[in-house]
Amino acid sequence: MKPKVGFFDFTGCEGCQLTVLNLERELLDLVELMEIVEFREISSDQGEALDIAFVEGSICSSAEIRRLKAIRARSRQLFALGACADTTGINALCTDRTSEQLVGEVYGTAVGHLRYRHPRPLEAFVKVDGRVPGCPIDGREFLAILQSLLIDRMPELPTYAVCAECKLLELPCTFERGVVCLGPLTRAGCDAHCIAEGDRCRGCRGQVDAPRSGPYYRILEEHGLSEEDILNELRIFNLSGEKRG
Amino acid sequence: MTQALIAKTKLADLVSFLASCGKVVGPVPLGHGQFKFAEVSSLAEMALDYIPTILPPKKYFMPQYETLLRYDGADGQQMQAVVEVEELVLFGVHTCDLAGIQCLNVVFSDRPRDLHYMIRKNHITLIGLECSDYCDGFASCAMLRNHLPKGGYDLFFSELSDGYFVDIKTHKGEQLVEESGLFEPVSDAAREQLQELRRSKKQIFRSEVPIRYQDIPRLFDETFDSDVWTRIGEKCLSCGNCTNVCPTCY
Repeated sequence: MKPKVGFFDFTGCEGCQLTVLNLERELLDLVELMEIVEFREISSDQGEALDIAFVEGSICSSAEIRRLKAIRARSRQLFALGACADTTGINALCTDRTSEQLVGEVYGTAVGHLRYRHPRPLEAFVKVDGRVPGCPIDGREFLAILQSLLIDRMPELPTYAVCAECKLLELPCTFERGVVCLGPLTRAGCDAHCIAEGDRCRGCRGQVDAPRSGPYYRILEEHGLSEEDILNELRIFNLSGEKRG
Repeated sequence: MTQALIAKTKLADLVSFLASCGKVVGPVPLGHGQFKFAEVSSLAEMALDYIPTILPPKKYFMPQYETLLRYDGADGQQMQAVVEVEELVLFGVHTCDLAGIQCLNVVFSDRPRDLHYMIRKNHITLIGLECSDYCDGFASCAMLRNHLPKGGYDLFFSELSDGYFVDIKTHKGEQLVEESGLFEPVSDAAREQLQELRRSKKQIFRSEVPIRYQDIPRLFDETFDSDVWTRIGEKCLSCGNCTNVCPTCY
């Protein structure tokens, strides 16, 4: 029997689900191997028990917590899909204000019924079996992770930094052109996509297991960054730190 | 013939000839003062006065990804060893990288031999290029005496005033010289120019670190517990790139 797979979204831009749908060449082969029983972006079907749930987005309200727990309860395995679900991603940028301030700034005072909590990753509320990092996720990495799951193996994420992938592609280091890059701290797996396209790494995949922050900050300081500048770099995607609550 | 000459005006024709026979790889500029070995079809694409490339030419001897084994689960797990190999000419390899390849040859031909490496190596033609001066201020080739050719190539080019002195080391190199029809016999004047180049290099290339070559292994042994390694370790980002970019690490 084909494994039953569901895709779910919470607070986020849904770009990670879209990345899955953009795998047009592979999608038809994939549905031969699994049964997609829930995927709101393409179907109104709703399933019951699931083998694998891919969950996108951060958790921002009591209703979202309840819905997430219900998905967890009927899923054999639950995977965080993308940075918002995995580390809170850029959603965490709002944590410098209170939730009342945020609601007030965005919706004004007239909608007092909105009950908003600071966004948190899935892991703050339920057991997460694995994750597909990135903002958005990398389609090839998603396929590799799915392939592992379909043959009942636990997928493994790279333990090395983006820096290593970048070097293997022989991309000139962004520091050579005076541009700060989070590649030395950030978990690989994206094939240094942003640097290959002329940008720099902003750390969307989260940090490697044991980042060597000290020596890295010294390099940033040598490039003229203040402590606040360094924190601002890290805040873009790596603010969270809050897991189980 | 163990030596030959080629006029500078014919170097572009030589690269075109090589490219017409198969894949040619040479140093190409990436901007920001960086270079990499990449496929070329003409001399104009290359920068022969390059500093060491981001990755050394070992990437052609040990590709980052290669198929070692093919199997078909449907057919009783039938397995077949595979060697993915292509004919390749590596053009313009400096003596530092040639020394690196020679180290790898020693390691991988030792038992247990790495058959994939050994087979691939036989399909690579190495054309070396001598440095007349330092490529940059970070080189330490003279300390390890690798600023001079020590073999490990099929052909080796040393720049003279209007041509290149070519040392022919292998049968493959000799065939290439003959088939291209672009080389000429060495003249006494060319020999004299080569000697002049080597004399001038003796003045330019001095051991960059004030130690004796023969002391290096002993110094490493004796300083194993030195604080210097802690100080260097404190700067380490643990990115693993030292291994990636090293001409001999694998």
